[in-house]
Amino acid sequence: MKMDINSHLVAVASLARALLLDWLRSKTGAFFTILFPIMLMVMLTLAFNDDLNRLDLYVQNLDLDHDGMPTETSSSLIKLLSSSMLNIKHIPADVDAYEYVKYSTNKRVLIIPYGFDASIRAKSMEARMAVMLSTLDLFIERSWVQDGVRTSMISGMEGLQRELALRNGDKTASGGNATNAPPALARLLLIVDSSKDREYERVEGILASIVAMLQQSTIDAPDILRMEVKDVSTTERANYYLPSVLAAFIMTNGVLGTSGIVADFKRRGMLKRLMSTPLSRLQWIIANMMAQTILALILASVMVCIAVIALNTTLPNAISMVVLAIGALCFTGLGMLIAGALKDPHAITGASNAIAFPMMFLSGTFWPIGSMHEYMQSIAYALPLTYFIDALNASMYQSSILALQSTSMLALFAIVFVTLGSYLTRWKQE
Amino acid sequence: MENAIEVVNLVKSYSGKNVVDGISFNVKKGMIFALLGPNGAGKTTTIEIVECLRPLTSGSVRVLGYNVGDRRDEQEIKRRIGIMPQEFRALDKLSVRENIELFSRLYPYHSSSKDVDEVIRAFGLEEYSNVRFERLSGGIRQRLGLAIATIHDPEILFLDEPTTGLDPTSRRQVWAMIRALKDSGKTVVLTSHYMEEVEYLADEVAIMSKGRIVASGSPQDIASRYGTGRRLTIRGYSRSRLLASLANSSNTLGDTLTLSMDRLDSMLIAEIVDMAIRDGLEVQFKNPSLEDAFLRLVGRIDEDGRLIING
Ligand SMILES: Nc1ncnc2c1ncn2[C@@H]1O[C@H](COP(=O)(O)OP(=O)(O)OP(=O)(O)O)[C@@H](O)[C@H]1O
Ligand SMILES: [Mg+2]
Repeated sequence: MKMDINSHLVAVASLARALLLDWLRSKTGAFFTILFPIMLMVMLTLAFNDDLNRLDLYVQNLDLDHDGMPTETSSSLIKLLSSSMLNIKHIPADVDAYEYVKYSTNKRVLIIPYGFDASIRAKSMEARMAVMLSTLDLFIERSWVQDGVRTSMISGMEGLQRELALRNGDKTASGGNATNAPPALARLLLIVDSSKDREYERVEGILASIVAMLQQSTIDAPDILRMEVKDVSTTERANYYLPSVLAAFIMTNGVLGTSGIVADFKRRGMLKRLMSTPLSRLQWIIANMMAQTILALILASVMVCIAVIALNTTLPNAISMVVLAIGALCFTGLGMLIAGALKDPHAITGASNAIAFPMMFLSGTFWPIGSMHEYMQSIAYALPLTYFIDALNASMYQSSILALQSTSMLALFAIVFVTLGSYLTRWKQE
Repeated sequence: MENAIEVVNLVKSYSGKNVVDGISFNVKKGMIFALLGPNGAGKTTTIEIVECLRPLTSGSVRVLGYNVGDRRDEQEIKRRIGIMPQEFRALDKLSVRENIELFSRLYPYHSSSKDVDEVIRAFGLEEYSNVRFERLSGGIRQRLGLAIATIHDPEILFLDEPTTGLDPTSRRQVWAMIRALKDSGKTVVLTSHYMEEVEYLADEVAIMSKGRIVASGSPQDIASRYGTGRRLTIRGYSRSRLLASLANSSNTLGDTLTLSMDRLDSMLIAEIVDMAIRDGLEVQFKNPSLEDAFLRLVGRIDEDGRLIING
C-alpha cells in the first residue's frame, strides 16, 4: 500500500511537470507567462506616469463669499500658483478631495479652506499692530521720553490693544462663540498619496516656496500662513497596479490556461490516452492544479521582479505568496469547472474567454471598485477576482490581518470550484 | 487456449441508434486479432469499450478475467493493457524520451530509465530520442505510439488503425514491430481498413459492418468461404472483339473484365489468355482473397473505385 501511494505521487508529479514543460515550451505559453506581463506593466506605468500631467495640481477653493465667488486673497493665491511651474486645474467644492486622491494616480489636491481670506486679513492686521506695539514699547523704555508723552503713549497702546482684541472678537464672534481668541492661522491643505505619486515631493517644494513668498509679501513677519501636507497613502511606497495586475494575470492564466490545456488534450486525443492508463480523475485534476500553481508563482515572480527593478517597489512578503497560491488554485478550479461542464473543445475555449475577460474588468483591476456604479459594485463583490485583488493588496502592502477576510472568501471560492470541477470532470468518454 | 477477451452481445447506442449492435467475439491469448471494417462500422467504439474508455449500453465484456464496467476491475484492466488510439498524439513540446518517461510513470511500479532506453532501442527511436513530438514524421509518431503502449509491459495491446497514413516502407516497419510483439507473447487487437495488413498480421479477423460482425475466422478461412473463387482479369478487354462479346454489366468494372475460372473449362481459359496476350492486354490470375470476401460482405466498389456499403 505504501508503495502504491508513492507511485501515485510519482504519477501526479510527472504529469504536472510534463504539463508545465509543454506549456512553457510553447510560444504562446512563454508569451503569456513572461512577455505579456512585462508589456502590460510597462504600458500601465507609462500610461499613468506620463510627463504631461506630472506637475498637475488640482485646487479646490472652499473659500467662497456669500455669492459663491472666490474671496480676494484666495483668488490672488491661485493667480500666484498659476504663474509657477505647476499646472493648475480646478475641482468643484462638492467633491471629496480625499477620495479623489486615493483612487487615482498622480493627483494631488490643494484645498483652500473656508475662512482663508479672513484669517489672512486678521493675521496680517494683528501682525501690523504687533509691530506697532513693539515699536512703541521701545520708545516707552527710552529714558529721554518725557513722562507726559509716555503716559499718553501707554494709553494709546492700550487703545490699540483693545482695538486688536475687538477685531478678533468680531471675526470669531461672527463665526462662532469664542471671543478674544487670537486669530486662527491661515492654512492650506495639500492632499497627496505618496504611495502612487512619484512627484509629490517636487510639487510640495514648489508650493512651500510660494507660501513663503506670500508670507513675505504680506508683511515681514512669520506664521500667518501655513501649509499642511496630508498623505492619504495607507500603503508603503508601491506600485498601485502590481497586486491587481498580478491577480488578473493569475486569474486569466488559471482559467484560460487550464481550460485551454484540457480542451487541447481533448482535441488531440491525449486525454483519452491518459484515461486509458491507471491515472485517476483526481490525479489528473491535482496534476493540473500543481502545474498551474507553479506557473502562477513563476508569473508572479517575473512581475514582482520587474516592479522591484523598474518601479522601485518593495518586495512582497511570504503571506502574499500564500495568497497567490490560493488564487492560482481557485482559478485553476474554475478552469477545470468550465472544461468539465462543457464537452466541445471550442465551447470550452469560448466560455472561458467569456468569463475571464469581463471578470477582469468588473473586479477593479484597472480602476477602483469605489469609483464604479453601485450595481456594478454588487457584481464585483460576487466575483472571486475582487477578493483576490483585495487579499493581495492587503497582504502585500497593508497587514495580513486585513487580508484574512478576503483570503477566506477566495479560499471558499477555490473549494467550491475545485469540488464542482472534479465532480463535473468525466473520466470516461461518451 | 485461454481467452484474453470475451465479448458477449455487446450493444452501444448513441441517441437510440445502435452503433454497435449486439456483437460477440473472443480473443485468444497470444494471438493477433483484427477488426476489419469500413469507416463508421463501429471498430473504434467496440475497441474503446473493451479498453474501459466508453461505457457500454448492454452486454458483457471481460478482459483477462476482469469485468468491464466494474470500477475496481477496470483499474486492474488498465494496468494490464496498452493502447494506441486512432490518430495518436503525444505532448507536442516534449521529446520522444520525455513522452515515454511520462507514460512510464503513470503506471504503478513504473519502469526504470533502463526500461525507457530499452523501449527506445526496440522501436528504433534512438536518433529521435531528443526530438520533440511536433517535429516527428507520421511513421516515427506511430512507432512512438507503439513504444508508449508497451512501456509498462502490458499483456494485451490495442492498436486502432496503426498504419493509417503511412507510406509502404513505414507500414512494413510497423508490421514488423507488431509481429515482434506477438512473438514476445502479447495479445494484440488491431483495427484496420487494409486487407493486406490483416492478411499479413492477423490470426483471426472479424469483419464489421454497421455495428455487426458479418464474418469471422482466419483470413484464409474467410477468403475461401466468402471470396469469389479463382478469377481471371483482363484489362483493356474492349479492344478485343471476342472478349467484348463475353462482357456483361456484372463481370466488368471500367475496362477490366473479370471471369470466374470455376465456371469455365480449361480449354476456353487457355484460348482466352492466348488471345488477350496476343492483343497485348494485361492478364492476371487471382486466388480467393480477403478483399473479395470483404467487398462481398460489406458492399461493392463503384466505377470510380468508391466502396458502396450494402443495404
Ligand atoms: N460520441 C459519439 N456520439 C454519437 N455518435 C458516435 C459517437 N462516437 C461514434 N459515433 C458513431 O458511431 C459510429 C461508429 O463509429 P466508430 O468511430 O466506432 O467507427 P470506426 O469503425 O472506428 O470508423 P473509422 O474506420 O472511420 O475509424 C459512427 O457512425 C459514428 O458517427
Ligand atoms: Mg475508428
